[in-house]
Amino acid sequence: MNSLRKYDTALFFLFIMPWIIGFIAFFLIPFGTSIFYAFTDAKLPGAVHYDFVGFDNFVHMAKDPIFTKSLFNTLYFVVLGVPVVTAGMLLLAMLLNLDVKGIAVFRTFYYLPTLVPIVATVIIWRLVFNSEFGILNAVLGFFGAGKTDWLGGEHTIKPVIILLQVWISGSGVLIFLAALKNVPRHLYEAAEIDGADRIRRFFAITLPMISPSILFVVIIQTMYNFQMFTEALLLSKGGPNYASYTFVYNIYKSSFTDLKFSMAMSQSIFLFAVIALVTFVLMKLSNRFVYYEGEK
Amino acid sequence: MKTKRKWKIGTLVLASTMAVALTGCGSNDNAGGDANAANNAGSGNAAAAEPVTITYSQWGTAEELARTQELLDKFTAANPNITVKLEGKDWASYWDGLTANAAGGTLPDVFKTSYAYIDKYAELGIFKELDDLLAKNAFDLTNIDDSLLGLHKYQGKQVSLPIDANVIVWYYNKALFADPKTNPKGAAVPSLEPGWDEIVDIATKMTLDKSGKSAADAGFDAKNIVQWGLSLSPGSSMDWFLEPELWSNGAKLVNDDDTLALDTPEAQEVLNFFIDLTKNKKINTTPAQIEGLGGDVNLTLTTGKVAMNPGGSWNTTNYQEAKVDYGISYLPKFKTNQTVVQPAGLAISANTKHEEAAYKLLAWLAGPEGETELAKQGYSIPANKAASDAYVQTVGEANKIFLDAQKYGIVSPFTAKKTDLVWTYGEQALKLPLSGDGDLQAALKDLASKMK
Repeated sequence: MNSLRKYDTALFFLFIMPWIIGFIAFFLIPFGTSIFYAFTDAKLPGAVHYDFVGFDNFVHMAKDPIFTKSLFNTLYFVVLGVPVVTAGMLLLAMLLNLDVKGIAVFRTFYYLPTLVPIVATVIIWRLVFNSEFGILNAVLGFFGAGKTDWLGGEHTIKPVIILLQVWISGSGVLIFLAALKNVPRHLYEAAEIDGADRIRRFFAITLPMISPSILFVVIIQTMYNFQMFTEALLLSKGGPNYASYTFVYNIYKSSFTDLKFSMAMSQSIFLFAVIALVTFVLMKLSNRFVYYEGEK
Repeated sequence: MKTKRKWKIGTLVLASTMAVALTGCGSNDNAGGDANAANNAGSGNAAAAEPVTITYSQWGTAEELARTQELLDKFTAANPNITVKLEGKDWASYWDGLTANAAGGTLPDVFKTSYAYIDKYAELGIFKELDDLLAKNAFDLTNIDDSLLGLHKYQGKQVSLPIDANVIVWYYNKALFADPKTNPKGAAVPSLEPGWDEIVDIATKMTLDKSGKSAADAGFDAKNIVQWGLSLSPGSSMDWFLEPELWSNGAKLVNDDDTLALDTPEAQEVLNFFIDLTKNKKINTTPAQIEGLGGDVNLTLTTGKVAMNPGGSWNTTNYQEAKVDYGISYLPKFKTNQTVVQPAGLAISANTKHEEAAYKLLAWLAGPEGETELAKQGYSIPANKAASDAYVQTVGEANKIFLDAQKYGIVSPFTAKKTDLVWTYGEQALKLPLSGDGDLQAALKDLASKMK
């Protein structure tokens, strides 16, 4: 019996060996290397000359005004951006869940932006939001509004990026749409008989029933927004005056432009710790707010 | 029986994973093996006939890369054993890409350098020191200006060889000046050595609103400009426009100790002058307008909506492609004529496995043969004087200004700190304030603290 058990265990490890090897080679080793270099002053990974500098990188990091600003920007995108984007997705999903003629066409249209590569989307947005020749200011101008420099303004660039995220949120919408379809019809019917109105039904039935999907989308979106890069790089190059400098953009700049890889690795480790902490808190909170049908 | 089969499957999964992993590594090993073989062959003279493939990397537009390919084809024709693979990127991603290559140990054998980045990348140790190689092969350095060579040295050692000497000038769109519809006031084209008073006068007449009124007219509608007299963005062209203009007024961009020098009265005068052009005179494009006109201040001329802009000698290609009939003058001056000469160069990677082939390519491209071919294309100004005649013969008198303007080049070498100022911090901090949007003094203070 015991030998059979050992045999099974060995077999188990043999089966998952490819994944273990992958995990070690592509996560654990790079991660360990990063931690190692984070305490050095290496300009490049694998640099010949470097010294151990202890926590110097972390101390410099805290004193660097650009780092602080990028941290603030990223928190803005997480704390404000994630709820707005999630709410936007949910709203779109509910609209696309309406039982009207030709709804399939609308569903297709609203999903299309997700299929366009983000680079192309950003270029389109640069045209739309340009203060001189953009269609948005042209439309607003028609109603008598003055020209707003959306992409060049320190206060407008972050909301524009969040709006862009709603625009390309098709996959989240798809998840919500599937969840909405799965809410049993009889619950709504029962509530209707009890005299519950639309709003009451949304909060009492829809929201709890799709809460696992909400949790999933919030976690994915939170991690994405912590690591936001493409939008900031392409839409405004992190500007103006660092208003859209995100944390990861700063890491990229530290390593590839400033040639301070050890600093970039310290920053990455800091980000890793923050994301791990936030995800942990979200998961803990979810015990209270998320309803799983299978559980009693 | 059943468990046996499980073992088989398990082993199979593992084996196939290993196989995939090993073939991945394996192909690298093979490449390395070939490289070593070729390298050994290259160092032995007898086996010089062994074919070698090396990579050459540079920045540039598709058009520029095609022209480089022409040169490389000529090189291969002269050296049939050496195949050169051209890797092109645009300017902005080129340098980040070079860092990534350095980090990954995949530097191209030969690559283009800019005088502005020599110090910064030399500190990474990516350049091969060329002095010994040049001496051993008796490369004739006397044809290249000492000042140009100096800009491609790091700690006294030649790490890169200058190949061209681009120069910054002032361009205007002749067609806009010739047409009464776009030039209702009949402004004259800029003179050869214009002062700012003259340029402001022209630009005021050439800035038109929707109803055709110029910025000189009463009732000019600054909110609906359809044609701009000039296009400048001093905050995002600090090294090639703002700096020579500062020098022209007796000021500087950075002090000798690498600190910001923009707090002198002479510098402040220049900065406020540029702010005034955009904010009050309304004859210059804002950064947002430049973005709408394509994003590059030196290419706004190609839209047909801008009468004058500063640009590099290399921009003539862009104007020709856009079919703009352009005229050229020196950069407008405050007190003295100043410009920037930007020598690009060629370097060999410190860890190339094909030193001999790489050197051959470098020596050909930077030497009389390659430089003459470059000059005959008519777009780049050769740094090697052996090719000067060929250049003047090709481009004719009209573009001789590019050679003449060299004498006004400011002598302001790039240090790693100045590179950061110009391309990393400066643009973020000063682009908007220098167009009249935001507090300039606060931005300067902020910038000075970041430079420390």
